Amino acid sequence: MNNIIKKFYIGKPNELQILNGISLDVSKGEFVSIVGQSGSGKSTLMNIIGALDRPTEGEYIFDGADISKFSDVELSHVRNKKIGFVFQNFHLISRVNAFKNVEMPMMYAHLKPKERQNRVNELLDLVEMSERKNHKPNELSGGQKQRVAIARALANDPEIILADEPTGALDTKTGRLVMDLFHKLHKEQGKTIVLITHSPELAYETDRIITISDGNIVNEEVKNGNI
Amino acid sequence: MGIFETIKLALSAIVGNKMRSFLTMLGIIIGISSVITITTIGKSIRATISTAFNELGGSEFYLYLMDEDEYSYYNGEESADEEGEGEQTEEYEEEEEPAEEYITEDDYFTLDMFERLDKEYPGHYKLAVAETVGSSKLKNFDGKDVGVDFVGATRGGMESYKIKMLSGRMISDRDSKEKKHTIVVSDKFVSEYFRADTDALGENIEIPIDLTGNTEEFTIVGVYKYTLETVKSLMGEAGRKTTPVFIPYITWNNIIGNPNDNIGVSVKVEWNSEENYEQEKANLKEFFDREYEERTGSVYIGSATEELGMIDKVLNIITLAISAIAAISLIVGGVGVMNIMLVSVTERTKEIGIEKALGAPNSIIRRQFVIEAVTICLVGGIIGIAAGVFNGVLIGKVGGPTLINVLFDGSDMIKFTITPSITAIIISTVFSVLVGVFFGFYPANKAAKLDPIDSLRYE
Repeated sequence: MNNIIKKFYIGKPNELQILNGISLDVSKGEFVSIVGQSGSGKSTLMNIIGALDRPTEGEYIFDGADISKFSDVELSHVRNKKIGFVFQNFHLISRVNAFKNVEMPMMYAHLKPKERQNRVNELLDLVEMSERKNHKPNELSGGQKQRVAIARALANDPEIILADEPTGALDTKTGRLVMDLFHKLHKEQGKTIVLITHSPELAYETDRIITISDGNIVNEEVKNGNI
Repeated sequence: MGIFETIKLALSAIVGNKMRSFLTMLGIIIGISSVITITTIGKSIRATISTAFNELGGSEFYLYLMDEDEYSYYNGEESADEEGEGEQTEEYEEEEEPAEEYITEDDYFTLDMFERLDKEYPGHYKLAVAETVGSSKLKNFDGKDVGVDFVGATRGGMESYKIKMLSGRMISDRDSKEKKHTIVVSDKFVSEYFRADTDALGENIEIPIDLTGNTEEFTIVGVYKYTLETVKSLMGEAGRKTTPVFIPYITWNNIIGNPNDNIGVSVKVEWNSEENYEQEKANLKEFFDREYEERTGSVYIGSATEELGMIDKVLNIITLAISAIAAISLIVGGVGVMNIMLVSVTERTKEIGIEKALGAPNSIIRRQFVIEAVTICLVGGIIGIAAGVFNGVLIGKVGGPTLINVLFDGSDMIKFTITPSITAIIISTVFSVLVGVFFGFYPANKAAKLDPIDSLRYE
């Protein structure tokens, strides 16, 4: 089944016009990166892609529907079921342990307790964090936290994983581990991943590199061959 | 997130910061415990008095013969008001007889009246007279002194004091009518006065009735069981060396030279408790109004039920007053909860952002915080209820016996029963929840409306 994500926006609901008419699309199974410096508008773009925000003008066709006109409630459903976030600062809930963190999106999706339990264990296995599932975030290292966050992002089997500077708070070695995990998810599971980064080196690991600057797409590169 | 999960999370948050939670709940705890304490005490008093009245005299009317003025005062009528409006009052007064007449002995209650009453309503009412009228001393077979307290009584009176007869009979209505010199003595008297193994029934005894050596002869027609309780309720205290003895009230009147057959201005009438209270009272009132049409005075009818009613009214007013104050405390407590919830929302801004990013709809966020507020208030309410019951029981255990001493002369028959008011407990619980919902709503709404992007950035 073809799953094409097409976007076309102008501007942004703020006084400053941060994005000046972006148009891009992402296909199912792609590993795409969006590169730009600070202030290029990449965060804003990510917020729109991630259905955290709506464009002031334009369309956002996601999985067959134009979600740019969706209500808050509908958007929350999209975020819950179809989008998986991985943040630079992990953004785990510090009050609960790793297991519960991964479980949370499933609860909003009204999965039954048994289903949730099985799936959480599966995902923690996938990111190799099963041993620490009862640990709270403050008992985990940066890399471990990010792996839990990735497991969480996969919770409801989303259409797309949005990773915003996922290695930004990690050292080189751990950052490497995380990138390898992304590649694994892309290759072995066919996941669609959009990576936002300011680092060209990281961007070059992906299949397609979209460069953004001052609210405009200035370049688009497709790599030949895989890593 | 299921509701159960949310509640568990809320509880762990409460436990996680006990001091803060406690201070937040304080207003609620104080408010609710005050209400529960006062309602427990009130209900206990009511229950105790109600039982006591039923034991001692739930089915009695007290008839008081009063002057017009006194009667109007007791009945709360306005005709005796002196602050009338000018001319109208004067006219009224001119037409009426001046209410200057006072009751004389001729107007007192008489046995005849009650005979007539019994004819009109057979079996409904029983005159219960049992008044101490004097004391005396006799010398027994050995020359030793035996002290007696005369109790002028009717059969109804002896029955109302639950006198237990060991042999013979009580004073009868016929004794009263015929002013017979019959007497009912106690077993204590018999053992003190007579030689052992004497059958006292039918014996004649001479008792001095004044200090000048005049005596009267009485025939023993019955022997009753002397108990401390009986003595206490008749005489007001126990521990006297004398023993009560019953003679017909009218006979005593006769002896001391009172020519009338009257029985005074206040009498107790037992009514058949199977009948309807209102009806019995109305019949009685109507009868005596008729009797006293020609005579001076009016008859006021009181009963334990009325007194209970008055006590009830006072208790209700007190309970309401305290509840009003407690309500203020609850409101203050609620504001405290709202304040803490606002702080909580601010503290958890990032967390809320994360939850929204993961797809939690606004309604879920809102519900989360409302449930937290309700949980705090409910826990506070439960603690308040427990504290209130504890206080109520404590005050009851300490103050109950004192109250019984005051009201019932320390009768042993009455125990102070402590009963918490279940209604108050239920209402308090519901109120706690409502306070939580009301005061939690504003912070919850704020949380729900947070922008996820800004929240995620919040440090």
